[in-house]
Amino acid sequence: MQKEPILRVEGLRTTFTGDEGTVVAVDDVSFDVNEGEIVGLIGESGSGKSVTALAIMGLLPKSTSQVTAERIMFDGRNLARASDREMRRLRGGSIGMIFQEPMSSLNPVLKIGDQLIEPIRIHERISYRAAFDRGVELLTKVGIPSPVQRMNDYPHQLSGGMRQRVMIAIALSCSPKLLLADEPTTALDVTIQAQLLDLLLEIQAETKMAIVLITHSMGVIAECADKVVVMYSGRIAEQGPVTDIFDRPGHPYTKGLMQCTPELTGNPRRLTTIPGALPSLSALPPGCRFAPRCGLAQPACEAGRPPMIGVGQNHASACIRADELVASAAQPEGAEV
Amino acid sequence: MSKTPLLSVRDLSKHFTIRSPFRGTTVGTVQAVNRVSFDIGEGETLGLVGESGCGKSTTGRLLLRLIEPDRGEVLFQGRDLLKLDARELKAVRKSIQIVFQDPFSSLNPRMTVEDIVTEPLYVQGGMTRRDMRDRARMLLDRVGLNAAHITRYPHEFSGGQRQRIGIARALAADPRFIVCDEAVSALDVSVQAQVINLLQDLQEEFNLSYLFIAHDLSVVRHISDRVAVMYLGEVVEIAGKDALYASPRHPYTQALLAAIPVAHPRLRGKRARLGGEVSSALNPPPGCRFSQRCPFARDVCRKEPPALRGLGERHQVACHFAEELQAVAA
Repeated sequence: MQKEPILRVEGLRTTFTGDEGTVVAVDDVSFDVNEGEIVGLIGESGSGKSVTALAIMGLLPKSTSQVTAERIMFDGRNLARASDREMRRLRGGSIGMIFQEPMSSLNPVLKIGDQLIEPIRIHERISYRAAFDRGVELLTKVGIPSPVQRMNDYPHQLSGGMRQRVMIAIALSCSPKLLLADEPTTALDVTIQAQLLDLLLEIQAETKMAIVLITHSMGVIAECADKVVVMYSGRIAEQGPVTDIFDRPGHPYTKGLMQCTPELTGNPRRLTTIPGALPSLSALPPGCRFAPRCGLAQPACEAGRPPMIGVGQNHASACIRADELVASAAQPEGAEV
Repeated sequence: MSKTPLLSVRDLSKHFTIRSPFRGTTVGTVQAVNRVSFDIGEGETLGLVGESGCGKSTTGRLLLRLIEPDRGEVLFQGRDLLKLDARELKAVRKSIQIVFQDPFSSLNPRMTVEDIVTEPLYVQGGMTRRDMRDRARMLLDRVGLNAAHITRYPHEFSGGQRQRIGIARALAADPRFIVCDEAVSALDVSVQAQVINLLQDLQEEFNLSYLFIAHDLSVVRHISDRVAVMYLGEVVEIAGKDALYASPRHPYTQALLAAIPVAHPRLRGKRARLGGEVSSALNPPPGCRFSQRCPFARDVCRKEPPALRGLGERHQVACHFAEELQAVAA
């Protein structure tokens, strides 16, 4: 892919100021999203994955947070310098969003139809009638039965899965070039999650929009993503094409994440674990942030921030022993993290 | 496991009546748990899976009589818990404990860790304050927490640590049986694996039996000996975990397993997906409750509810056409 990426984030940094001082929630995060690509952003709670998405969208409260970036290029524009007005035009227009909570992200006192029509009429100058028809069409597309009736329903009349379908319909309403989906299926049951992931993939195949899929589940990544960005404690631990990440993880954290998810084959007596817990953002270790939990840590790991090392095509890891790890992955399993 | 099981549940049912908020007339009945039966042996883990609203948590609470069942039997060490009076129940409760899902709301924020962990001992009585404190320290140490943190409050701990406190509390009264109600669901994967290992170690050490309620099928497979699948208040299949995951007999179990995300991107591919939504347990259909979503449903399924019946060794399924489906699959 020689074309310019649809989204290029460079050196994104987000800090929050509160009673206990200033914490850096996202620290120097850079990644590209190409046209028609699904990028999985994976990490545990507190890793900064949601904040990254909110910072890109300019949705963090200005009173308590500061977002800086070298560049956030979206479709030829630098979002890091965009005015509020420009951002408003993009949000819900060329950039769609889906949030985790289908309960709280829809307005409970507005009909589904009104919530669908609103963004369409804000971004495009079309009549109510035309926008209504578009809304019905979108509901049909996301698999909601009897869409004309549903337009008049309130959110509480729909199930969680149906609400998330409505959220997807709203996000798609202005044919976005980029969709930011923050844990879109986390609150849902497995069979509904599977339905929705299939739906997203189907729509993506048809519209060729790019998706940033934020999740904590390796399974969702394995199911959907083309490229993976692994975040740990506000920084990128590793990024690369999905099969490379699964076959040859270049960061001990990625490897640990995969090992501590129980599998559906084999019968290990014990799960491999990552000892300890995520460090608090107000007491971060000096060098590699994963070093205190890492089985491969050396004194050099605590000396300074590990640079991103290329370990394959478009595959880079922020671990000074990345080459070793990738090489050991080529051999049969056995090395413990 | 030929002895009598530690816990034996027979025809356990709980129906909630829904009344109109203004007129007080009955609008309908939610059959939250309907004629559920299973056994759990000494030192055994029974996994209980199903989607939200299927009655799995209610089942767990019925066993402890945190919710009073309408009908059925819960035989624990040969005694029917549902026939005990309050005093007898209190004595038995020390052997049956529960670990809840949410490590934030299940610990009283105004109590210290010591108070939380010793509360079951305090309720049971017969121990001095000093003995209770020693036991609390021992328990904290056992679940992997620093015993010196005994004077701290829940908010000073992370989610994983709080869940360990909840486990220490459950262990305090030296139980035989613990209901783990989505005990690891709220935790991040790296911490979840730690807590799962802890639960397994404790099981071995104290010869505990677990009812492990969860919606994550891979976690349930890892920890359970046998697995029961619930749909809309009823058990549709129970089997040893290997049999259940390798050759599920009920169409719902099959659909549930097919919905698990793949483990590796190379395994991607279109699989049969279950259409429709979980139906409501409010006034369920007369026949098989799964018939509305079942791709194999026939007329008889919509009329007659299938009974849970044996199919091979220790494999039970509630489907009229289990044998036929099996033949098709083979």
